[in-house]
Amino acid sequence: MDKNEALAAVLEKISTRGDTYAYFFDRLDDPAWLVPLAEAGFFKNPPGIEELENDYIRFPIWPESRALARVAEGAQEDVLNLILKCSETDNPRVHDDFVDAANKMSASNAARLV
Amino acid sequence: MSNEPEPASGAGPTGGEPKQELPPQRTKLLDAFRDLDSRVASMYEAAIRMMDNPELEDAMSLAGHAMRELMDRLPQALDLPLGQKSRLFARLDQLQERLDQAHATSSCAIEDSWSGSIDAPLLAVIEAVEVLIEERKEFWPSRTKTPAELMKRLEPGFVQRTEPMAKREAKSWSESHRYFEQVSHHHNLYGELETTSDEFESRVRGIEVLLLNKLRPPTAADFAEIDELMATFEAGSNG
Repeated sequence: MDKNEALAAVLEKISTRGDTYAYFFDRLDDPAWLVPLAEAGFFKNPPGIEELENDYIRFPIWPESRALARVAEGAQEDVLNLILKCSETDNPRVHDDFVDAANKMSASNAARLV
Repeated sequence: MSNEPEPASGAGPTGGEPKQELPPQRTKLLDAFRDLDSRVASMYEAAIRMMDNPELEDAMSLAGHAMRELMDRLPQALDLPLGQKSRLFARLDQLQERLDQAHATSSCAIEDSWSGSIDAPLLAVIEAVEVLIEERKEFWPSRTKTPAELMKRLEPGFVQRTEPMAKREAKSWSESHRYFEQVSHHHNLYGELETTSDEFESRVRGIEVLLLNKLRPPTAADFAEIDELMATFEAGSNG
C-alpha cells in the first residue's frame, strides 16, 4: 500500500464514527498530514457552543484543533495558515487550542494570530 | 411424554424448513438489534430471510418494505423525539376553535373569503398558526433532520464527527430509505426505478455495515488499523 492509498483508507475509516475520528487526530503528530487533510476539507469548521436541554451548554472538543496545537512547533507556517482560514467559533476549547499552538510559534508568527 | 421428535434448533417460524444459518456479521447485527428493540430485530430478520429466499415471489419488494420499516422504526427505538401527536392535535383544535370564532365574529369574514384590515379575531388565528409552526420545528423534526439526529444518536462515543461527515452519512441514509420505499412500492416493476438485485443487496449491505459499525463498534481493531495506516502514510511522506 502506498501513502495515497493509506491516506484514502484513513479518511474512510475516520468518517464512520466519532471515536475513530477522535483517535486519529489525537495520534496525529506528523506535519506531513496537514496539507492532504486540509485538501480533504479538515481544519475548517470548528464546532460552536452546543445548547443542551435544561439551559445547559457544552464546549465540544475539536480533535482537529488539538492536532494543530500538537504539530505547531514543527510546521508553524502551515498551522498558522490553517488557523487563519478557519471559520470563526465561539467555542473556548478551540480558542485554547489555538493559543497553545501560538505558544509554540515564534513571536512574530504568534502575533499574526492576535 | 410425547414420542414426537423435538423441532430442530433453528426451525423456521412455521415449524417447517429449518432456518438457514446467518453469516456471522448478520448474526452480530441481529443480536445488536435484539438488544435495542425486538421489533427492529424482527424487521431485520424478515428482510434478510426474504431477500435470501429464491422461491419467494416479489422477494425484493417485500424485503425492501421490511428494510424501510426498520429504518423508520430505529429513531423511535433510540428514543428520538418523533413528534408528540397529542400536542399536535391539541394545537390543531385550538387553531380550529379560533378560526371558527373568526368566521363568526371578525369583520373581515365575508362568506367564504376574507377582506379588510386584520382585527382581533383574525389576529388570534394568525398567532395560533405561528405557535403551530414554531412547535413544529421543536416537536416534529423534519424528514431531513431526523436522519442527522439518528446518526448523532447512534454515535457510540461522545466525540461527534465534523458536520460535513455527519451530513454525508445522513444523506446516504435518506437515499437508501427512498430507494427501499420505491422498491417496496414496486417502482422497479413499473419502470419508474431502474435497479437490480445486486444494487438492492449492496444497499442492504451499506445499511448493515453502517449500523453494525455504530451498534457494535470494532474499536480496538479500528484503532490498530488506523495506527498501521498512519505509519504507512508517514513512512511514504518522510522518505
